[in-house]
Amino acid sequence: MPVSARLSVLPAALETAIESPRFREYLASGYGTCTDIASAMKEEPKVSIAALRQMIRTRLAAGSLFPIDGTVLAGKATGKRCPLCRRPILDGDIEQEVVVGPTTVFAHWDCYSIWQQEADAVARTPQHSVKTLTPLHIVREDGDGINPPTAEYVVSFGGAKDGVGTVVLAKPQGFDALVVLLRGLSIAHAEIGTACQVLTEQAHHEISDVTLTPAVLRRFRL
Amino acid sequence: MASSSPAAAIQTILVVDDDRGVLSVVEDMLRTMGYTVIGTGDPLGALRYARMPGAIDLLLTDVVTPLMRGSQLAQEFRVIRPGVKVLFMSAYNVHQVEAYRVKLAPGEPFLKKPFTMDELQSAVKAALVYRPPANWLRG
Repeated sequence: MPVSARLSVLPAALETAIESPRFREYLASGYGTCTDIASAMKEEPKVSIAALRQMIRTRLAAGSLFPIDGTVLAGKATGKRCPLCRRPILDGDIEQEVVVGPTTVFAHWDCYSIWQQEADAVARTPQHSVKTLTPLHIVREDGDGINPPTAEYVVSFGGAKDGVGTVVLAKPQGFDALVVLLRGLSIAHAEIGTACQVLTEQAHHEISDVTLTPAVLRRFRL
Repeated sequence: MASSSPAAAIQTILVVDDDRGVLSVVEDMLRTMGYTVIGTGDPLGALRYARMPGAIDLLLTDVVTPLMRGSQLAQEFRVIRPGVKVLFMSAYNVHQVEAYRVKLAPGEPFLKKPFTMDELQSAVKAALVYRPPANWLRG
């Protein structure tokens, strides 16, 4: 029985090690031991492109790797470890600095390229349009001197049982900005009109069953 | 702006919120910050996680959850894992949550809904390092 079949749950580093030629030689010789596996791991063997692509695809599907839609800068290697292949980015390599919202990661140029290809492929598949139906809450600070058309609003979602949202999407200033935001969330024109009308008289309005896709959430850096 | 840190990468957070949409987004936000995240909408499921091997550094729980209040979950969780840090989140303020038997120690972090990503990160960071006064007795 092959080793990979015997070890049904393998850490990624171990999977990588098992791919190494040296380890395969040991297996072929019939003397493969745990010590050999550890030795192979220390060598940080280069993972094959096919294996790397599969790993990236799996991580994107699991949500442990995010799609690329932010700033990407190329630069000289600084010795950082690439989170994709887990090997250091050494002199002579091009280091890609990928900034997505609040997160920055550094990757090899080749690894980044595969990541980008696979992220694009995921974005084109229907499974990426997983939707969250959630109430949208629009709240403004109430008090004397508040002018509803120009006041600041807090737009949040979630929290069906509490009457307020859980996660803040944005804080638009005034009705104009609020309307732009709601249009961006594909809220119906009539619903937006109702919201503005209600908020002229009340400090809170709830729009039920708003569809939030991962793409929309990413636009808000969530 | 929220950002990931190497320290966050080795810390595990268990999130409990019965709103699936919110749970999913909060999980993603915490992963983006670099934490390892386990999410569940069921407090009893959270207690099952507590009994399993593996690190859980922080329990992030809603105060008002079905079947079991956040305070009771925290209490039972601490029995299983005495060293665990707990961060409550709620639409209610720190005074209102006392009606749900959540009594915060002086300076204990609390996450008021709705929150931004930065507020979530600040509260989580603070909760992970928070130590109640030595003479503080949990209710």
